[in-house]
Amino acid sequence: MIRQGHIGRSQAILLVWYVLATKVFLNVPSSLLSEAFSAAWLVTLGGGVVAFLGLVPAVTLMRRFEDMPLARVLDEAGGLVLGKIASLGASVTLLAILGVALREFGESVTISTLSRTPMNIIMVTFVALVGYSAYSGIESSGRLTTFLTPFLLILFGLILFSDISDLNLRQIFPLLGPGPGRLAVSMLTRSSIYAEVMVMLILYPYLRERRDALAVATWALALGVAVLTTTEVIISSAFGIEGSERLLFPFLQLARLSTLGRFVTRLDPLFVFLSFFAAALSFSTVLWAAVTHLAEALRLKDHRPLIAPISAVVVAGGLLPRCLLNVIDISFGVIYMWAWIPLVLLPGLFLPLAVLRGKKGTATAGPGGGRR
Amino acid sequence: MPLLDIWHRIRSIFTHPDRDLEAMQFSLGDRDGGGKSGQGSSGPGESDRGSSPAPQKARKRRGTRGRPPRQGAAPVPHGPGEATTGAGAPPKQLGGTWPGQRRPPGPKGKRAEPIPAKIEEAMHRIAELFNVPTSQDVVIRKFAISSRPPARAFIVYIEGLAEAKEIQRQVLDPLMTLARTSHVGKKGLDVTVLNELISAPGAERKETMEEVVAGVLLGETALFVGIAQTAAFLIDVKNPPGRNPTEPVLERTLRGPQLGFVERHRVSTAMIRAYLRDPDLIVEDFVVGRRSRTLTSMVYVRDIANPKVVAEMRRRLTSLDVDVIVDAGVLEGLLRDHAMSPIPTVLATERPDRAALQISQGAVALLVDGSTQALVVPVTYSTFIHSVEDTYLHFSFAVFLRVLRLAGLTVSTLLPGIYIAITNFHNEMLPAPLLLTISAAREGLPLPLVFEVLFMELSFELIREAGVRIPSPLGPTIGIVGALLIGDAAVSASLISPIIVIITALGALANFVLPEQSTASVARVGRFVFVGLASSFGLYGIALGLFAAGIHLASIRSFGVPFLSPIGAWRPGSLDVILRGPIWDQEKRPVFLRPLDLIRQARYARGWDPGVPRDDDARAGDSGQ
Repeated sequence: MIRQGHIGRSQAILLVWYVLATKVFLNVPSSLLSEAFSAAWLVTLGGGVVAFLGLVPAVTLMRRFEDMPLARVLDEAGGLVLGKIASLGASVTLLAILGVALREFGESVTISTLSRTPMNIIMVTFVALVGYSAYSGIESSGRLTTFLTPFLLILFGLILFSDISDLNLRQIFPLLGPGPGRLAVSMLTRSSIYAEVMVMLILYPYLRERRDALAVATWALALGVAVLTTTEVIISSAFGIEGSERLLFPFLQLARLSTLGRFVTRLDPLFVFLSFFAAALSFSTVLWAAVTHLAEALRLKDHRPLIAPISAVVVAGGLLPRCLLNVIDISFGVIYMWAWIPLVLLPGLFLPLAVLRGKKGTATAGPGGGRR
Repeated sequence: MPLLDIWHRIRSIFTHPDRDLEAMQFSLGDRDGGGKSGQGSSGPGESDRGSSPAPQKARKRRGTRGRPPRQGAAPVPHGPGEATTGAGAPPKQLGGTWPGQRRPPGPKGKRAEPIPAKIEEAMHRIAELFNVPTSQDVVIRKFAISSRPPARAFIVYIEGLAEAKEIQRQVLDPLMTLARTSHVGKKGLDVTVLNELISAPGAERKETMEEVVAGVLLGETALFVGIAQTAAFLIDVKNPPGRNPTEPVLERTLRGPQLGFVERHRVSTAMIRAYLRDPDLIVEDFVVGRRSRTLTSMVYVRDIANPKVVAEMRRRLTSLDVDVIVDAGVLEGLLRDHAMSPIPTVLATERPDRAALQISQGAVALLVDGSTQALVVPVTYSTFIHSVEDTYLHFSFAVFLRVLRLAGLTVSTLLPGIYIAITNFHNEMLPAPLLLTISAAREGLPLPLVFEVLFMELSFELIREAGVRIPSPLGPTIGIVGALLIGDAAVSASLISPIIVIITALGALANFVLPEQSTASVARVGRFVFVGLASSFGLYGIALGLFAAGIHLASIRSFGVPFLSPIGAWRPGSLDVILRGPIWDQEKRPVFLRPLDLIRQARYARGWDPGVPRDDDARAGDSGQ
C-alpha cells in the first residue's frame, strides 16, 4: 500500500463529483443532444442509474477485501494474470479519458481566451499543474476541493442564473426524444460518461471511513447526474436542440449569454476560472488515480516517479488527434461509448470470481488508520 | 528499481526530510518525555532555581513521567581549550545539562574538567580559558574573605554582561566585611558563603569548569573560594545589554497593550508570565548555537499544548547543530517545516499579548535571547490574517477588518496581474466607456503594458526599501522623490499611464493592510509572479498561478497541523477563523491545534446576563432533563 494519508467523506464525494461533472464544460452535453435530442437529459439520468448498478458490486468487491488497493483486489480476486490485465485496462481507460478531456479542455481555452497560444503550450502548462497536484497527494487535492467548491458553485450558479431569461423549457419535449428503444440503448452505452466513478474504487483504501464507501460513491454519482442533467436541460432550453448540436462547448456559450447589469458586460472570462479550477481538480484526481493504480499494480512503493512520464504520455496522446472534431469522435464515439464495459462488467466478473475462489481481504492497517 | 532510486535522489535535493508524511502527521510518538535521549533539555520543574512554589507544584504534578532525561548524569566531555571556542556549560537553571549541544570533536568518553583543587591553579585555568589578558572585557578580581582564618578568593565576570554595582553589593561587600562576624563552624566556609553571606537571590555551587565558563558567558559571576578544595559558585547578577520594554514597531494597534518584546530574554519571558499567571505555564530553556550559546526558551501551557507538538519542538531544537543564532529569524529558518517554501509556517510576533493568547490556545512559543520577536507554532493560514486587536474589538468590526485584510491580500497580490490580463486578453469584459478611457490613457506610450507595470512596481519597491534603510532625518526626502518619480515625472514623460499609478498605489496600500510582515512579503513577491503569468496567459495564467498556490498551501503543514486547517478537516468548534463569534461565545480552543484541554471558557461566559442560560441549565438541557 502506498502511504498517502487519508481523506474524509465529504472530500471524497467532492473529488469524485468533480471527476464526473467537469465534462459539462466540454463537448459532452452537445454530443448527447445530437444523439438523444430533447431526451438528452433523460440519458444522463438513466445512465446514472446504470452506473449505480455497476457501482454496487464494485464497492461490495472492495469491502470484501477491506483495506486493499484496487490493484491488489483484482489480483486476489481474478488471479495474477487476469488481475494485471484488468488493472492495466483500468489505468489505460482512465488515462485515455484524461488525454481526450485534456485536449478538449485545451481547445476550449483556445476558443474562449487564448486564440493565439499554441495548443501544446496550453496542454503542457496544464498538465504540469495537474502533475504537481497529483504529486502533492490526494489529501492536498481533497483539502483544496473543499476550499474551492463554494466559490465554484457560486460562479456556476451565477452563470446559470443569469441565463434564466433566455430559457424556453418547451425545448425538452418530446420527452422520449428518439423513441424508447434507442433511448434505452443510449442510457446503457452512455452510462460510460460516468465511467470515471471507478476513481472511487482507487480512492477506497484512502477513505477515513471506509464503511461509507457506497454512500460516498452514491452521493458523488447523484451530484454528478444532477449537474449533467440540469446542464442538459438548460442548454437545450437556451439554444434549442438544433442550435445546441452545433455548439462545440455549449457551456461556454451559456457563459457568453450572461451579462451582469450594464457595467460588466460579459461574464465569459469567469468561465475560464470556473472551467479551469473544475478541470484542474478533476484531471488531477484522475491522473493521481491512474498513476497510483498503476504503481500499485506494479508493486511500487511510491507513485510519484510515474507522474512525469505518464503526464508526458497523456499530453502526447492528447495531441495525436488532428483537430477538435477528431477528438470529439474519439471521446464520444469510442471512449464514452464503451467505457461502460469496464465500469459494469469488471466488478460483475471479479466479484463472483472472488466469491467462487473464496478470496477475502487481509486486515492490514490502512492508510491513516482508517476505521472499517 | 533504478527509476525509483533516481527519483528519490532527485527528490532528496528539493525536499526537506520533514516533508515525508510520516514525519508531518501527528504520528510522532509520545515523546513528550524528552525528545532525543541524552540530549533532552531540562524539563519543567527541573530548575535548580525553582524554589518558588509554582515550579515545585508543576514538578509535583508531573512526577517523573514525561520528564525529559537529565543529561547531567552523563556530562558531555570537553577539552581544556574548548570552552573558549564555544563549548561550555548550560544556563544555570538547566541543572548541569547541556541541551542543544552536540558532542564536540575530540576523544569520546573524556571526562568533564573538575574545578582545580588549589585556588591558584583555578585562577590560572580560568585566565587560560578566557584568554586573559588578551580578552580585556573579562574581569578577574582577587580578594580575601575576612573570615578567621582569612580565605583567598577571586571572582570572574564579563564587563557589560554582569552588573558591577550588584557584584559589589551582593558579593564583595558581604565577603570582605561581614564574613568576620559570621560563624564558620562545622559547616565549612563554602556553605557559609553560599547560605549566609552572598545575598544575591540566584547562587549555586558548580562542580566543573565547563559549567562555570558557560555561566560566566551568560553574564553570571563566578566566585572561587580557596579552601582545602577550591569551591566555585555562580551568582546571578546579570545585566545583559538591551532596551527597556517599548512599543512594538511592526504590529501596532489602536487598542490593547502597547508593549513589545525586547532583547533582554528574561524580560521577554516575564512579559508572557505577566499575561498568563498560571503555574502550568512552562518556560523550558535550551542553549542553541555552539559559539553563540543563545538562550532559547520554549514557552507553553503544560495542560493545554499538544504534547506531540511540544515534543516535536524539543526534538528539533535539540537536534540543531549550528554555530551562531543571533535572532529568532535564524532559528525560524532552522525549525520551520517546508524550508524551501516561501509560505510562513511560523508566526513571528513582537507582541507579548499576542504570544500569550496563542499560547493560551495551545500553541508553543519560542523566545530567543537578543531577539525582539517570539516564534509561535503551529499556525494556519488564518493566523496571518488575524491581528491581536481583533480580540479587543467588537466581533462585527473584527470580522470586517479580517475581510478587509483578505481583500487586501488579494488586491496586493493580484491587482496588477488582473489589470494586465483584462487589458491585454479580455477587454470584452470591460464596459465600453472604461475601455475607451484606458485606451486613451495608453495612447502614445512607448512601453508595453507589462513593462509599465514592472517599471512602476520596481520603482515602488526601490522607494520602499530605501525608506527602510535611510536615516530618519532624510525620510521625507524619499517621500518627495517617490511622489515626483511616481506621481508626476513618469506620467509627464509619457513613460507610463496614470492608471498604472493608481493600480500600483492601490496594490501597495493593500499590502500595508496585512498585519503580518511575512505574509506581506509573500504578497509582494507573488505580485511579480502573477504579472508574469498574466502577461503570458491572461486570466488562464492567473488561474494557473492560483491553483498552484492553492495546492501548495493545501500540501504544507506547520508542526503537523495542515496549513489550510480547518478547511478540509472541519470539526465543530468556536467560530474564529475568518469570521469570528463574540468573545462570550468562544467556548472552545481551536480544534485543529488538538489542545489537551479543548474548553476555554464556560459555554455561556456572561454568567451575570439573565438573557443567557446558566451552565447548569444548559447541561440539564443537553442531557434531556
